[in-house]
Amino acid sequence: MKAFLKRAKEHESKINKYTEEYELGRKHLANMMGIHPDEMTQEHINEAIRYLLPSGLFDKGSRPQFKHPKDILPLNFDFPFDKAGRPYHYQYYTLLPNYHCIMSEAAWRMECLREEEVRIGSTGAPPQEEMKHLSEEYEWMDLRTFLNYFKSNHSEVVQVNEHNRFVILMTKLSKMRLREQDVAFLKQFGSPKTSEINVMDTEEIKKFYVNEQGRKFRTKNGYRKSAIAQVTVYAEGEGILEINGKGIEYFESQYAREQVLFPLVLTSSLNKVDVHARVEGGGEMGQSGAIRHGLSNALLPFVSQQMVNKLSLSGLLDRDSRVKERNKPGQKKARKQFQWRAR
Amino acid sequence: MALCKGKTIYHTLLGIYKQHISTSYFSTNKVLSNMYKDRVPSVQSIEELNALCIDDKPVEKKIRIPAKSEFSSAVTYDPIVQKFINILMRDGKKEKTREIIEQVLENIKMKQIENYHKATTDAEKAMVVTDPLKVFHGAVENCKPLLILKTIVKGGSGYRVPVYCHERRRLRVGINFIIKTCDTRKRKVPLSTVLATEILQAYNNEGNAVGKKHQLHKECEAQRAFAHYRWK
Repeated sequence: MKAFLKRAKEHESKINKYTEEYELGRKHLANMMGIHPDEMTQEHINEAIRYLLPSGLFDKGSRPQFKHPKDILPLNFDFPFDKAGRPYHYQYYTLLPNYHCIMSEAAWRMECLREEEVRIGSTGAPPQEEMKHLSEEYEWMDLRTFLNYFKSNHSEVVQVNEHNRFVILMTKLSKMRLREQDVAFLKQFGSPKTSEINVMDTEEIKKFYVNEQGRKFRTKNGYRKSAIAQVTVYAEGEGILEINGKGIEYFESQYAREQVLFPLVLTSSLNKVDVHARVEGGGEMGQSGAIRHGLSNALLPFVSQQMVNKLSLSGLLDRDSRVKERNKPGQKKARKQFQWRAR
Repeated sequence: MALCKGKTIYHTLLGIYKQHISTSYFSTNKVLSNMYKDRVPSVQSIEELNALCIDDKPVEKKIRIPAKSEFSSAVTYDPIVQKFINILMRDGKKEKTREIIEQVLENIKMKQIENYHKATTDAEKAMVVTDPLKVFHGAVENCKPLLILKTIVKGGSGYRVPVYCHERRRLRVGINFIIKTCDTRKRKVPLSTVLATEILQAYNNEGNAVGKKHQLHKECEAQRAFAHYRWK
């Protein structure tokens, strides 16, 4: 009790100090900018601070801010217990009263529904209220929304384990026969799953440009290790292949040649398309991998949807992000270590 | 609650579920990130691709693991032959091993054509298999063991215990048997001819590579009494 009173007094004094500083600073800022302090809004303040104190930090919460303390600290320091020291909430001593209130309510509802079912099954009487199964599967709150829900409303800090328990309980509840009040209780924390599928943008796939001579073409970049390739694909062609001014004899090994031709053979468009490519950097296999990446991305508008599905399922459209590992101090190479000595 | 490396934690409030922690909280070495953790596996065989993509319906947009550089739609691509090449390779020289194995398949075919022409009756001619890939698959199948000996330490001493294993492990052991019988001899003959004879013999259940498999099975029979050491 005493500790609580101390904290309340400190909180009050803090807020008074911060409000005084805020008012002072606000008047100075208004003076500097040439605006009347009554007409200054929060947007003016934000712009001014971005100009006076620029920062390159990524986290927006750690950049300098200038706000009224009521936006940052809670105003009222409510006493959750009365004069005698008895708390109002019946689960105050669990340290997370609102979280446990929700969980116990859900468990209580489950018990009531089980009793109803037992009564119906044993006596054969009709149910008192309408009870139905849920028609769709429900999706429950994410971790982040769960943490924010308790932090903003009740200023409680919840952990990951408690989120897991919450999800398990709600799924159990949702599989029983429910009354209307139970459905309303569940809708606070979840929503039915949408059967929408994220599909590739058709506008991006079908984009192409037109030449001066009237031919359609598309250029895309391909990357692998440290090689960069620029590939252009012309539609309605004969099957010409050009790499840095030479044909497919630019590559000597058979692996590299097969890699370059792979997307064309899959979509069966060897004789229908012209390809011109420009490659820099890397080695032999890296350059051929870069051309394959660029080719498969540039082929998409000139080919049917069935072939686009094939290219995406086989993993040809994604970049290979494997790169040589760096050397570390205290070791010879990336993983090789010095010889072990006993002393 | 001290959390240690590799131990599981049980919560019993609303049911039992396990939580596995791979490294301890007191270690200073950082765990190297798995860059393919959030990616979905991709299809790696062309027959499956043709079976999955029949309609014109668009496919879900996901980030998939990119295809390997050896995977291609050429006629000469085979996943088991690729595995053989990777195991036989030394010092990262893949072109050299690929040439060796092309020679091996060529030698197999030439020998089988000789046998085909030597056979007199039609029934015998039908028995001779000339497809080198089929001979290769059959030889590797005949060399795969069913059980493997694994050392388990109990009471201070190690015992060799017969144990089941999955398909990938069996493939590797079978291929190792073939390679080690061919590589250890003092040979003045190139590797491709030795491998070709060994594979043809393994297809007919003869030779040293299949003999190693039989020897392994005999040792498993001898250590049968310790089979229950596999479970705690």
